[in-house]
Amino acid sequence: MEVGVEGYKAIGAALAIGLTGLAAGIAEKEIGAAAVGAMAEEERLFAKGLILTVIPETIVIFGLIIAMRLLP
Amino acid sequence: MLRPKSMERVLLVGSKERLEEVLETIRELRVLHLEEFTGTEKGKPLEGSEEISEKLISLRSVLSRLSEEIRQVYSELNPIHKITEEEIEKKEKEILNIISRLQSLLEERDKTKSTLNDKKSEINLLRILESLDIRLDVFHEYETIDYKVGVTQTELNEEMLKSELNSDEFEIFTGFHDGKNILAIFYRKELSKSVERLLDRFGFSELEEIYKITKKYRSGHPSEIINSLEMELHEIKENASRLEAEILSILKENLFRILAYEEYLKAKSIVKEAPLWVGVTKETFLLEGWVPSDSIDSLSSLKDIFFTKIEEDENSEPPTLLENPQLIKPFEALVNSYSVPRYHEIDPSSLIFVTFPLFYGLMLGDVGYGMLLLILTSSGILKSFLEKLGFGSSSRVISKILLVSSVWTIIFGYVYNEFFGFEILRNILPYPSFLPVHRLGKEGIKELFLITVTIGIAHLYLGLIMGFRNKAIEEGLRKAIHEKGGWLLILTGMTVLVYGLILPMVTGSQGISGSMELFVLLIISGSFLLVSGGLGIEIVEIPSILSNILSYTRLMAIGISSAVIAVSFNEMGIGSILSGNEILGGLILLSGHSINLALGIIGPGLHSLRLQYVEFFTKFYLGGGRRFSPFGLERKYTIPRR
Repeated sequence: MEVGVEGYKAIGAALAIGLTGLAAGIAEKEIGAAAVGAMAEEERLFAKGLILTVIPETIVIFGLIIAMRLLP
Repeated sequence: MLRPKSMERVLLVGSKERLEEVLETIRELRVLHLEEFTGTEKGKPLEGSEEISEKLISLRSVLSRLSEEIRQVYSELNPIHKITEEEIEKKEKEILNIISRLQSLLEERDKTKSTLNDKKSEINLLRILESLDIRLDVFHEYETIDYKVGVTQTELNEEMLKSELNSDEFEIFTGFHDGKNILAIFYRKELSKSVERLLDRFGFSELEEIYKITKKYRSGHPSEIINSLEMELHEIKENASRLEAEILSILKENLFRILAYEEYLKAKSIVKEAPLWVGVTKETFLLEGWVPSDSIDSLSSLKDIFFTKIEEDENSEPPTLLENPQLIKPFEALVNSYSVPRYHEIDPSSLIFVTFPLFYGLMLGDVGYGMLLLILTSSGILKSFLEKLGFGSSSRVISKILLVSSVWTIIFGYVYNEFFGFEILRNILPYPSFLPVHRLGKEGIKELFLITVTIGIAHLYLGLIMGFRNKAIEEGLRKAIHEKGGWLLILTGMTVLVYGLILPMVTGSQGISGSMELFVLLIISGSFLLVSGGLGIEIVEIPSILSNILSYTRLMAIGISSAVIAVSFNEMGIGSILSGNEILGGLILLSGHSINLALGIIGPGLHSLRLQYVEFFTKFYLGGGRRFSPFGLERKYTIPRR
């Protein structure tokens, strides 16, 4: 079976979203755990914890844009 | 609205004899944020302060032990009946008697509870002996015989033990209680070592508590003792419920008096303790603090007190009292949970009042969900649900914020033509030619991409412009131009990059020529401003502006995911209804949309908040202010003396 150009583009887009999602997840895992720990000690750290936790999220958005670029 | 309430620093000086009276007046005015006086000697607590705090502590311990009952009675006793301080003073003896009566009832209740538990555990142990069917008389102290009672893993019989022990100088009683094998074994003392070894092998664990019972009740059959204990138990229980009923009836009659007394004591104690914050000389007191400018007249009317405003100096940051219309108040909580604004800063509550619900609506965007959310929040169902989950006082705030957000959700639901994921609104409502934005189609996604990026850029410009204003006021115009001006140039460069190159790339059209050159020029000039202002290190942050802008595309992405979930459940549900399975289809629709709404409340809420905190606030907001907390207390149950 032969994969056409469109097929490769679709695979590329899927990889861009999937891998960036995974990467963001791995990064947020550790930050989130530490943030929850800090929040348990002091509740007012919620906002700072939230900010730190969601920083890696932007990676997915870059992935999303690449995917949209690949599949116009 | 954009600024905290303006404050004046004031100094009150008066004769020491009048300190208590002045403090009492200020307490009722509730306009002065007391500052600790530095400079002269500080005062000591007023006479009688110890006595009052002792009374307060013992009253509070009674109240905290009664918290369950008070909650119960309180809900039946609305509305609050206020009592004057004069009346409290007149009836103080009576109230104290009620409190000491409650105290002794509580002690008695604790005692009954512990005897109740004791008797229950005794009965439990006696039931074990009952299963062995032996009289308690056999558990004597013998000269030649020893005994053990306990639980074994397996059931044992006499024959088995005989062959194992090589002796018949023992006797066993076996029984079964509560799913366990019970064994009592009586044996000659000489055998004790081999018996112990044997029992170990059978996984025997001794029940030491049993011997307490056998020592206490030396004769009779366990069943008889259980019977008489159960009679006692019944009496104790009756006694306990009598005590509980008496406590409740006392509370029903006197709860507001007791709560009023607590408030009265608290009001007294804060005045008595306050001199620790006040400066004193031989004859005078000096009291310093902050007053909102519009309340200053109420203080200057104090008689025979020298009153003056003090110039603000650099070391004294005024406390912050946010001032916003009722509708915007709940959004202050979002700002405060990040950090309390400093006095000279812009208070972003009113900006968040616009952008938070707007972003929320952009993401959730569904008329059906919006109306459901509107009903849940305006009826108070969501609030009481959150209260049950333990959100406490923030339940009300969250509910109000979501109420405003639900309006935007309905508006954007109209824009997207979505009703629980069904695209049916176009058949009922009129639409202008440029609407709806069909966010599940390719064209709609591209339109939304453009819209969300534009919103992001506007939001970031607003943030940086306010940052410029804050910087200019706090550190001067020069600093502001170098720092925030530099960043504004960089943001403009990134805007050129996004519109000229990235957007055309995504939509598949030709890029705008010359935008790359303009982008480079703007970034370089922005960096130059930063470096010349001594902020060279900030250059590493330049790419973050691009990621900030693109971060706003989450407004599109989160929304599409929630719309896709809704559509998928619709397809599944309608599919099974069409194939004749109405109940399953209905269940899928109901549970699917409930899950999606629950996700829809949490997801857009957090992402909208994140855009405020991470992208917006970092451009201008520092926080770290002190909350204005006036000297005094809220009068809920008492009316102060005239």
